[in-house]
Amino acid sequence: MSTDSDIIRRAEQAPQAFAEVFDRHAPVVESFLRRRLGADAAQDALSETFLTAFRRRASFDHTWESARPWLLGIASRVAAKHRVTEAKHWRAVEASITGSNPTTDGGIDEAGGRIDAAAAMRALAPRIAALSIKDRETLLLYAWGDLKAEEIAVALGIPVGTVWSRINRVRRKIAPPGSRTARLTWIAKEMDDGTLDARA
Amino acid sequence: MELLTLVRDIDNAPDNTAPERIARSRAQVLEALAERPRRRARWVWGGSAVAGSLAAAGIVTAIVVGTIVAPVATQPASAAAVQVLGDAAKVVIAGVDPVVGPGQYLRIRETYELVSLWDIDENSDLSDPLTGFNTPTFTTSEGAVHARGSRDLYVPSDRSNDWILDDRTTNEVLAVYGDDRTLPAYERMVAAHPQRDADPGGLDALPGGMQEWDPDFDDDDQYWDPLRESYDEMPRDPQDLLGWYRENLTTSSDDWYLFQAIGRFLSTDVMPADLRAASLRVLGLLGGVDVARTVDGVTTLEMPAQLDEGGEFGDLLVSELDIDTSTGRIVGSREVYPHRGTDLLPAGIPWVSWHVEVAVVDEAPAP
Repeated sequence: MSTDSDIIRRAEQAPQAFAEVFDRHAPVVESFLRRRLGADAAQDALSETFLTAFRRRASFDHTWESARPWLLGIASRVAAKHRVTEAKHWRAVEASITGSNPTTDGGIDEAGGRIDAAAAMRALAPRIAALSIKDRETLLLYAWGDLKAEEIAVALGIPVGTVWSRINRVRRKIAPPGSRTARLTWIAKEMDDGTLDARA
Repeated sequence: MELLTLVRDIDNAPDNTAPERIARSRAQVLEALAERPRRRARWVWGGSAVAGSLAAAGIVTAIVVGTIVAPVATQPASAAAVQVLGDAAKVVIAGVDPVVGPGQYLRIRETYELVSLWDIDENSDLSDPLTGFNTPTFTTSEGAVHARGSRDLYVPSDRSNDWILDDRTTNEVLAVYGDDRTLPAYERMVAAHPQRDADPGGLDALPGGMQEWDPDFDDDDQYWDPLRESYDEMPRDPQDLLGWYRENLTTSSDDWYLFQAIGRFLSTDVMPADLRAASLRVLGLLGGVDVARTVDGVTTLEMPAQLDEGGEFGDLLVSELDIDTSTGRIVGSREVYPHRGTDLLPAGIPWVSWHVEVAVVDEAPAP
């Protein structure tokens, strides 16, 4: 089977070959965009992503066999251009999260766990929406795009170390108030400010 | 539960409508790839806006009909069509082109008509008036708007100077079909996105004819006449030139595609005359081209092509080119689906059509 790299090379001479790249990755890219922008906007964003990818196919790094990180990076950029739509979708997501949709036949404990998880997710949504674009796209490529840090680095054109620092920063930012992670955030902030040392 | 696990679970329910969206997007992407040789992809937000931008981009087709089209018949162009094209080529070589003096401009005025479909089921969210026009198909649409737009391109006598593109005209609604709510929905959409859906693209200077499509990308600029850099290398022998087109238009070597593409290149009227003449003769080498009619000195050539899948557009695409026999110029083109499976709008209305006029003028509007 041809690699994505092979197909993209072929698309230089035969653009229709790019359809195979679409067929391989469209479900993942569509899911990523739908979760960021909502179903109404996902189709156009998906098309825009693949047309942009086709137009910029010369920029594909052929040392990578898979085009998925590259495509998700473009999709992330497309999504970022539609901030209003994304913000609106995050509000809809927050409103739609409930714990009443059982996925198994579990008992009371499991039901309670679902409700707790739903509450936690409901609280998370506005925090994620409030992140900077750079932090949010890094987080979502990691969590929704299922990319490794090295792949996110390729997707966004940044060093791997930056990916990790962003993820760690995001974890602190979106953690619930009072949690250990949040306390670490407070400590980190104090250290950054120099105030912790002063108190000591 | 671990924080990132919670993030992963947000909005993670399967969506049964995703395959349908993906299929529609696939068709959009393939259609755009098929247009690739004539334009660099300029994607805009919104389905009907796509039609608008296609119009603005000066290309042939604005619709998605599937990916495989085959000629209806394999016979060569009719003798009558070859005769018309040969005569037109001779007229072009004889040199009847308008003379553009120093400081003057060749004004190319394009008037186009196109159909926008409206799907009421997609338009429930009134906060985003584009939605009902995003993903229209004949089978899902409750309404259709037939609109007309125009734009002027001013080509300076010295083509290294700025070309002026005047695309300030707002599209005019010619007719509305179907549900009574179609026109209000269209007007809401235009009000919300005037620069895309009513197609007033503004007044722009194109340095040397170079147009910037997407400011986000440096490699996206393109000459208005995209084959300009190849004019010298393009063969003047029609058979060789046909081979060049098949090879270099890259997308499709199908005759229906070449018929439309070459027709549009010729209609913009900025190719060297000998290349235009040879390209006219190339049209006579394509299969299935025939004379449809002649009215007031304008002969219409048609090429039917079989739609492989049929579906909502029926099983037949008929492409037409209008040739002014006194000048050898392509003055119109249209795309018709006579068997489309809908009674939403009359069958005789082309899906998209163009009328092109050229004139020499002393000045161009200043951006």
